[in-house]
Amino acid sequence: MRALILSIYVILAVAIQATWLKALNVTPDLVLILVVSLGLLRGSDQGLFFGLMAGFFMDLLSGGIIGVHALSKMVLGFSAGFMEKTIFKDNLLIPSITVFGATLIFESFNIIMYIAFNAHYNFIGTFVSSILPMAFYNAILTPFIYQLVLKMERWIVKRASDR
Amino acid sequence: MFQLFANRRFLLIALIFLVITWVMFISSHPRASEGKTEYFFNTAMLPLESIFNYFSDVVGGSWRTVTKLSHLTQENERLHKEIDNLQIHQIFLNSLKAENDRLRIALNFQTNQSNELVSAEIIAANPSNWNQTIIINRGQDFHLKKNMAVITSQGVVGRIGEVRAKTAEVILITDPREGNFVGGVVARTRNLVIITGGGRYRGECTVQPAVDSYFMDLKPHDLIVTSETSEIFPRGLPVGRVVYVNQISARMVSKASLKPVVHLGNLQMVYVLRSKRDLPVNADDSGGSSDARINP
Repeated sequence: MRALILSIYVILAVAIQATWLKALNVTPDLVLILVVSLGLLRGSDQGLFFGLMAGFFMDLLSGGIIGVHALSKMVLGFSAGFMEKTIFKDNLLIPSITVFGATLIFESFNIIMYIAFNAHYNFIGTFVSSILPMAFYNAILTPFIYQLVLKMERWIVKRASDR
Repeated sequence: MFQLFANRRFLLIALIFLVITWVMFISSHPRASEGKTEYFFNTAMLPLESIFNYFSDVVGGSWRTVTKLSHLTQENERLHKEIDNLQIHQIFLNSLKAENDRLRIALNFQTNQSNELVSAEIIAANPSNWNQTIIINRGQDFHLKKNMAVITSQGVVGRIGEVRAKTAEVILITDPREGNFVGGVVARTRNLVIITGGGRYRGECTVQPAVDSYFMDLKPHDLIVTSETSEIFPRGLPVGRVVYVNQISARMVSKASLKPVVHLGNLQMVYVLRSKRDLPVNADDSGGSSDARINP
């Protein structure tokens, strides 16, 4: 059930990024927020697997080099999962701060990967004009998406305990 | 036992790393066409993206209508006057065209052929920020092929990438991937340049001299248009204006950043050129001119 709901979330997130958010100069990465949220709520292993699958799905839809998003989101989900035992799940500030930092680190990692494959990116310029605004957008949107994932988790737990 | 599990877990992660690195390496090489998996997922996402796009158009259109209602009468009057002016202009143009055709026949010149344009709507943009592509609602059904030029009335947009049954991917000129370049010419000096995707900041391109060891005379606000050396675009189409120059000496520049004349983040409709036909050189395309428009 969790896999099904998460798949729907990822499909909707990618569709929203490709359509409604395209008017923004820099598109927020809703999939990154989902991966961090699940890592924080379910731990490293599930964060890693979900990050890998969601990243791979984004790679297939983005064209170009396949694997950049899969690799970065896999490591992201794994890293976020280390905080699972230490955070208070209802606190919305921690996910926002985590997403802000994760965007700066992992989107920079994406750019470095593209530069390694001969893409003409200016790292400093891209960091200032794209990654920094994206980190702010992501941090603002995180409470809403984190709440969705949290509600899903509680619903699944309640459903399992009712049986 | 725990040690063994931990090691196995580590090995599994390392194996996934290796597989992804291998996939990245393989997919980074130029491919004739996209794989079946990519084709399947892109086609499967199309209905959902079309529905989302439709709602965004309806909401955006309604909002624009509401905000523009108060200006509609004035705009209507202005447009009526503009139509009158254009009709008079058209009569002059028709007589010039007739004269031009007569002279071409008299001089035994090849007759000008009009560009074969296919209009297309934008369905979706790339969900990733790092690949600057858009999806249009025309594909194999309209005989589109890879590397056809995509333009608007303002200038160059990009070229066709992957073509699917009913959609096609457009690689924007700002996309920084390897091999995404356009042959251009500085309108003021007629120096040949190469424009590559990816500049100083997001949404910019890089301008370099066509010959590596040469420097060029370039100033901010210079207009760059497509040149005869472009394999995809007809000559004379505006590409963009220089926004930043990397100065070597008082007059010489080794590299510059260019901002496209087309606002690529706000596209609604584009035109695909099914065949490359060279446009006559525009007499007004001098650097610093604010009118960079063409009429395809």
